[in-house]
Amino acid sequence: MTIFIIRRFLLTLLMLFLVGLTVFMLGHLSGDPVRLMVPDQATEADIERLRHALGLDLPLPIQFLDFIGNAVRGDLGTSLRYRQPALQLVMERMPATAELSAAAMLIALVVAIPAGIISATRRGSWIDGLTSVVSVAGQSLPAFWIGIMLIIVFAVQLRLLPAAGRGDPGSLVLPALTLGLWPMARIARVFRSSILEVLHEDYVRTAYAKGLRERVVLSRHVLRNASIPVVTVTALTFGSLLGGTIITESVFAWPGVGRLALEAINNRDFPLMQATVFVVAAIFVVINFALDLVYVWLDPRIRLT
Amino acid sequence: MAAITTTIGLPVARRRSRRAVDILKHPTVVASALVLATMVFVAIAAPLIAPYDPYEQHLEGRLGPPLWAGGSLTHPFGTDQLGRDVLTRLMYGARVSIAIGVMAVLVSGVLGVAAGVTAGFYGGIVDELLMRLADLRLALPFVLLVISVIAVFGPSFTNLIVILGLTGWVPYAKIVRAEALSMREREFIVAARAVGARNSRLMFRHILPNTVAAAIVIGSLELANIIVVEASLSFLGLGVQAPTPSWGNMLGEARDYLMSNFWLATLPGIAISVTAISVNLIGDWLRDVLDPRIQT
Repeated sequence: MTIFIIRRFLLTLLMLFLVGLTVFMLGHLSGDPVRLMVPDQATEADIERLRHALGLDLPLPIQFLDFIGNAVRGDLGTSLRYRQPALQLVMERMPATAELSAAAMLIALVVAIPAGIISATRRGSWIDGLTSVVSVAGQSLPAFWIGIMLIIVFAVQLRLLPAAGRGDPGSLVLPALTLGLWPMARIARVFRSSILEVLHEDYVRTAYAKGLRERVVLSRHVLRNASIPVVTVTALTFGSLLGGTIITESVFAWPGVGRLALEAINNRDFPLMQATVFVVAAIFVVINFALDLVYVWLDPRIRLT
Repeated sequence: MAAITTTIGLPVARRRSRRAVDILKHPTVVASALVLATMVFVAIAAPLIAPYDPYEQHLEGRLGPPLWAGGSLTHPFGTDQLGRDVLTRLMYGARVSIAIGVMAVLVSGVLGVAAGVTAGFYGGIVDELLMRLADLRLALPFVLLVISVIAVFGPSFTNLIVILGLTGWVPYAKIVRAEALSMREREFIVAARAVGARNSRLMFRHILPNTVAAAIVIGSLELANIIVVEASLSFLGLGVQAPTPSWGNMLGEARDYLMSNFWLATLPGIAISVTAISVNLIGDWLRDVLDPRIQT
């Protein structure tokens, strides 16, 4: 078990290193990052000065080592536009994104878990039908369009909720709904098929044969075993929500990391953009590691592999 | 998993043919296929059947209402902020969405299947490397990654296909790898090897054809995904550039008119949603018919 955890930990470190390498390369994809940063009317002298100031005239491997060295110390460069440490800017926006993601996940789970249970145990019922319709819709409808439709109905027509910004709790409702629909669809789907799979297990038949009531079989035997894939999807979806809120944040003018990233891209603020990609990917990798630890705790069989 | 894969053989083949006939018992699948066929037809025939030129502006007739809100038959879906016919632009938008979707899926499918067959067939270090690469790709936030790459190379039709194609290979690779792994030790592979087949022949003639079903299922579900992502990018202004009509950028431009002319945002959204739902339903059905074991 210790070996499993150590192996996973080393893999996580490797992953973080590779994420760093990718983020570093993103800036050099075009061949010359300086030209991406400067406005079109900049002179050659300006370009050279900026190149030297940013250390971009050094050989690539040295630049990469510098980048990794600085990243380890928590320095992801300085935003060209705000002239502040990029990491600090990202972290300042993180609470807004975390709040939005958490609210979205909460909405998703509150709906998806009962929906998954009912649709698996009462197959063919109207709830099962509704769940599959909502799942397909949730996976097909573009988030930005749902967001706009919600704005039209609840903000423009009914004037019930604010259309944009982050203020009173009411302002969280529409963006969280928009963002939560996709994980809701996904979790309900995974939970349903996972329960259906467990229902066919021998130990479930045994439990029924012992004369246990359905509720007891479900809660003691089925749901416990069926919940492992749900933990996975929930954690991974949460991880990707932290980076996937760009569109929702853009529709609702929500001041989070996603909008910061979009701003950085539109302003050609490359260090800031690299920092957002790095932070979001790092969070995802760390959540993955935490998830591995949760598995070991949930399902002792995993330790064997 | 291994226990399941070794038990499939004849019975699956028999079940397949029976289920394929069952399509008429799935009215939603038939309806989806009809919707999709219509979309593809409209996309291909847009220059012939569209009532106007998609770039023709009539500023005096801008923001005209659609038929059901007091408009007339000359512009059944109304006109946009520059007086262009919305129906025409939706028809041309179908071309962009479907063309980018199909081509990106082809690129990522070919890459993913190649990676999956290679990883599953060779195993060992090759497998380890490819799978770590897949993990890395999954760790990077998809939309953010695509947007950053577009920011570097600039938004264009070709760049979108290349970027979406290059980043979408992981689901194919993972499933195809599992298939190839389970097949490596099966009798027909061992037999082919025994009669002297080379690795390349084993991969192309024996393993690859057996992974096609899985690749088709994933491809159909990914197509829906890519259509939505492309629309999202165009919506953010990082996809297909104005004035070329795409469903995403039509929606983006309509944002400023939500108060007065909400149908401008509603119609392209319906087009995207209906297409994506149809593709997803067909993908689900294909999975049930071809290979119910595929988890997506």
